[in-house]
Amino acid sequence: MINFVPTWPVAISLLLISFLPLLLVILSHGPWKVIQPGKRFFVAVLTTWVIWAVAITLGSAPVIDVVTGALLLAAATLAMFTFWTLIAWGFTISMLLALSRTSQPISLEEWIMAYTNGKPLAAFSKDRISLLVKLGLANHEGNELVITSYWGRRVACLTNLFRVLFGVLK
Amino acid sequence: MTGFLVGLSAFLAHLILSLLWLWRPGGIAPVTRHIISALSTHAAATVFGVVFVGNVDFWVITAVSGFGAVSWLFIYSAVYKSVSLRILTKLTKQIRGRMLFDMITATEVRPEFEARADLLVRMGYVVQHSSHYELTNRGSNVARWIRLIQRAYGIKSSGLYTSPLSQAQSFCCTIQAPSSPIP
Repeated sequence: MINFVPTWPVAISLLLISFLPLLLVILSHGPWKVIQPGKRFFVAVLTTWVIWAVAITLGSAPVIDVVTGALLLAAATLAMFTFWTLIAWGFTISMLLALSRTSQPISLEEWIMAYTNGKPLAAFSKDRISLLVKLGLANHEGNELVITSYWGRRVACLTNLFRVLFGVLK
Repeated sequence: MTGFLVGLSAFLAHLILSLLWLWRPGGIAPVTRHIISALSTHAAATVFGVVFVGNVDFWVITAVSGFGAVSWLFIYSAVYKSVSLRILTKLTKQIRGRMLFDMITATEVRPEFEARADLLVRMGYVVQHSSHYELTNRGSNVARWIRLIQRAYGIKSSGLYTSPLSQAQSFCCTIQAPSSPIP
């Protein structure tokens, strides 16, 4: 037999999984609008998890049910994060939208300019590099980018290991 | 606890199946392979649990195998497509781990832009006339849907992490109506 009836911690997680996209819409417009997309997502996720934690502490449930609820909510959070990064900063999606803003066929150079709002492609490089610098994986040194010896090299090594594992090493 | 072990078995089976499938060339997109592999191993493990274990909890199995599958897909997407990680790994192949910004743009970023333009052409969203690119009707429809989703979620960014909007406006709440999209 298989039991499809959710326990109450699981039911709360399922409700909050439905609530997260709705909360993001609420935080995207009107009086509660959080302007920056990254911070908006963070506020929505934090609110969802705080509600979940408060609800869990109000009752008593077996550990397995709490862990199940937490894993469901964590999976939904990660899936929503992937969706959010795609629609907010996705490279290919943004390229498609940049092309849709033009009224006639354009060259690759013009497409790049449309993507970067009139800046050269170096602006896009610096934008992506800024993430590496923020995370402490690389540093600016003059007109060069330098990998950090501890975290930078370890993350790069791990990335290459996964690339080998997935068969996508170029 | 039994459900937990069944879910873990489903995830481990998904790891093996997805890797074996990803290593093989084929026309099915990698993300689709991940999804098919995750759903089929989840279903197989659940049936296995019911037949050989007896009483199992659907939600425990789903939570464990679902969290594992989403995390696995997240890691795959990051190492497969992330431009930032591509730049980082390129740095490790350079002398003293350093590279000129112009070199990064020329050898990493521009080829990536061209590769994604080719991908959009192969997907039928963009058509290339000699050296010029134009959206197809299919591409226009997809772009319209994406804009609708972005409007619902108030996304006005240009695809850059450090867009002028995000640099100029700090984190706050406002009662103002959304301003016009970035041109």
